Amino acid sequence: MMIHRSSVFLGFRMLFRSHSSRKTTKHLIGAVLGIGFSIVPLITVLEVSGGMIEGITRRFIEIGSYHLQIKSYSPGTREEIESVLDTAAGFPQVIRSFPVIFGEGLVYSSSEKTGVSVRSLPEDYYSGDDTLREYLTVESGEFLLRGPDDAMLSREVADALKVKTGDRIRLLTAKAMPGRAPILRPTVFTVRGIFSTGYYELDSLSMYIPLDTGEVLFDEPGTAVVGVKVKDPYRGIEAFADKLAGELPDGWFVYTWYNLERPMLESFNTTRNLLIFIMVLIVVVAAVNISSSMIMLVIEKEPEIAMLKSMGVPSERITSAFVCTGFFIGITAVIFGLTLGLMTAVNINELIGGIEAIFSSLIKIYSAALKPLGAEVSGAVQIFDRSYYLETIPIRLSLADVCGTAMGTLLIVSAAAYLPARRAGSLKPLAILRKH
Amino acid sequence: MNNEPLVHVRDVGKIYRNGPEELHILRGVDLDVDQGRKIAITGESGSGKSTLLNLIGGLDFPSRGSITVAGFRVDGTPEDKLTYFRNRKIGFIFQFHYLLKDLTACENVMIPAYMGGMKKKAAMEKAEKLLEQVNLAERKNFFPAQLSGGERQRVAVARALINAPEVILADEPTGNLDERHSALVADILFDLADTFRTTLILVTHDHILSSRADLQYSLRKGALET
Repeated sequence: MMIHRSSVFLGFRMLFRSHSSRKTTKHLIGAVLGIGFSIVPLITVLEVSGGMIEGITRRFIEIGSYHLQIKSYSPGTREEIESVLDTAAGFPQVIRSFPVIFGEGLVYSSSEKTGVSVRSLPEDYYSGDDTLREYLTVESGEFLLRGPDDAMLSREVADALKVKTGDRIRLLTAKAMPGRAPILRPTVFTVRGIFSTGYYELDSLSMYIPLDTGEVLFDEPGTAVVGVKVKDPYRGIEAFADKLAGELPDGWFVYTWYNLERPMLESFNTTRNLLIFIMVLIVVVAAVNISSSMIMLVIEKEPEIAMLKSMGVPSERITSAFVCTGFFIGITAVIFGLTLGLMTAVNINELIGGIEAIFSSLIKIYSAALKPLGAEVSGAVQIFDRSYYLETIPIRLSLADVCGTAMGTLLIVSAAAYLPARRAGSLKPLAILRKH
Repeated sequence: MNNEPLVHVRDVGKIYRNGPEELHILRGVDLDVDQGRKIAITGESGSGKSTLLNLIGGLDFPSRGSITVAGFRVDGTPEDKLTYFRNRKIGFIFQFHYLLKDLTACENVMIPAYMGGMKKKAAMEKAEKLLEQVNLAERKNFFPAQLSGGERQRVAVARALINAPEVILADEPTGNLDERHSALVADILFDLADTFRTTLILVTHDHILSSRADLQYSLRKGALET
């Protein structure tokens, strides 16, 4: 539908210089607020979920899976690993490659025990990686994997064992022997530091030990891995992995972070898409309000429409004038909703903290009021369990999300305005003039 | 020189059907109006005056007969062509002004021309001139709610003339005004019709107003009498 400038003019005037009845004006304001408020959860979900997924993914690929993993399913010799490291380092895209040995064990303190996932890492693992240091924080002690008995524990493991920096722990590992029962081997370590990634999944079972010690404890096939970090892990990683695989010795395979973390990433994205779908439904429901307000506006303006038609104004220009009114309602609502939504998204951590504080205070007041009656209520309100989500929700403001929301909303609102607008265009002037 | 009348109505009948009942509003009406003439049609309420005006203006279709205005065959013409016809050839004035509340007086006058395809600047200039001619130049930026009844009807007169129509169809243009404002609006209407040599077909109950026309007709029992 071609929109003539005169329709834009009339559509604009009908909304922004409206001399409509108080009832219609109230409905129009209500429609703007309805659409505006409906955008708030949508934009908040988009920005917050985007930020959370990006934050979690980033942590996983910097700390968990790395950008690429080069693996062999036969026990890799030191020479083979050196050769793989050299090959990887020869690519300009690679910023870092390092050997890692994965293993499992049971770790004991003097009073507690817990299962751990052990990574044997080179001494410069932490100091040589700026990006890693952004996501992995040493909360106590220092990141030290120099001596054979040095160990780093995650906050979760340290809490489970009730140990602190400087305490001694024992790691029980099992070595498989062909045709015989596995040999259990206890090794004593000193806790040199306690770290946190801010994400439970990565922190819950993590223990780091020096690479040399790991070589002794875990020399099973498939445990030796070369971790690789590239300049841009999000673009062209698959193609680069194929290229790298072509240069490696036989029996070595390359896995991208996407191969390794796909189920998690897809689960996050599915949840996000479902949330967005529900939020879009809210916007659609709010758009029905636009439709009813526009119907009221058309009914109120029937005599004026009849007059315009009797003066030979084409039906399609009257229709497009009302579509423009709907569009301007949409623009006003989008400006209002986006502003409020972005403010909510940017301040989501403070907002959640504030809500938790308010409810916790209410519980305290309630508890104090009930105390004389002998009843006791206690506990603090926590909307998100920090153990399962990032400790603070990272916000990622995406221009694409903002533009997409604005365009989508305008499209929905214009579509909602179209039917009443078409009705306005198809009114028979004579019937209206007789009625009035 | 073309001697054809500007408005040519032949044997026009209009029947409204309400189930099996038929209401004959117009019965074989003939009417010729030359360019620049001003005619008045009077008659009792329900006699079919407004119906005849609506038929001439292409707002309604006759049950029989033919209507030609400025060489344009009105009866049986599709709506899109009638829209163009009304925009270029006809100016309507109704008893109620039906001004758009959200537009100023000047914008109300220019809107049929602007929405009909004229450039906004040209339409505004023309509207301002017309408002001067109806003595409302100083009120061009007033909204309808800020104008008196007589002023609103003068804006409606200016609006009817914006597209320089060949025919003005006025249906009780002073029917809603007091005597003083009626006279004022009538003066302006007749003066402008003279100035622009526009044909005026006026439907009214007001004998003072009808007496100013070149010719008076009366509609009785669906037929037109001089």
